[in-house]
Amino acid sequence: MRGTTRLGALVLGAGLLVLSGCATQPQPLYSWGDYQPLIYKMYVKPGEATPAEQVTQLSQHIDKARAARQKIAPGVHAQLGYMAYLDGKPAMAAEQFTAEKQLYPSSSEFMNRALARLKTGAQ
Amino acid sequence: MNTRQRYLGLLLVAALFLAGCATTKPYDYSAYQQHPPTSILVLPPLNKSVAVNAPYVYLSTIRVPLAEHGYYVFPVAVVESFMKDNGLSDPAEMQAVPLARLNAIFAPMRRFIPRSTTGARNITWCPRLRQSS
Repeated sequence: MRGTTRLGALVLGAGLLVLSGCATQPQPLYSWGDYQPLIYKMYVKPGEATPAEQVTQLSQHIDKARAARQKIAPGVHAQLGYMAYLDGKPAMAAEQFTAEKQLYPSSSEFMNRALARLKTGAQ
Repeated sequence: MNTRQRYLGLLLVAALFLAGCATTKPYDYSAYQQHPPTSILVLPPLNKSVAVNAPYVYLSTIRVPLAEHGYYVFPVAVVESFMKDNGLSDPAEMQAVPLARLNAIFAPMRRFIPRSTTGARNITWCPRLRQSS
């Protein structure tokens, strides 16, 4: 009787060891913060995610990520820039679009167009 | 349980096991491997469901897994407003824009060799680049 319980414990222990290997997930590349729920709210409940509020929340998220030396996710700067533009801050918008361009060179073509439209829109 | 029922039960179990052995034809990734993309543009999807907000829910959630695989994903809200400003209000219209035009607007073609190479057998539906550009 004692032998079977010890064997059972061994099998259980080995099983747990094997299964714990399945639980490891790769570290996320970026810190996402509130970005995704914010976008969701923006579409589904626009009243709760006005441009002004998005500007404050996204700026806070960026500051936090920078302090923690985490990489900002693609599109966060661009989203903040767009919200700043809607909130009536074209200078901040231009700053953010440039930041997105610098962080992610893949976006440079699109960001150049956005910056150009910002300039014509401001004038 | 008589022996006939037992045999039937065993047969059922065996059939369940063997069903897992069915092999499906692997996806052909040669086009992808010849021109590996670095950025993904997600256009607003056509809504064929009964939920009115479905395209937006999809847009807001699809970015995270795509970006975590290492691709640059264009900001969906900015892209959508850009399209609307250019007179394309419907997802169907947005998806009808010719690819050459989309290419010109969003990204010049650029080669990128992923540093973390994956063997052909490791490639799943969305290969992990894990090195964002």
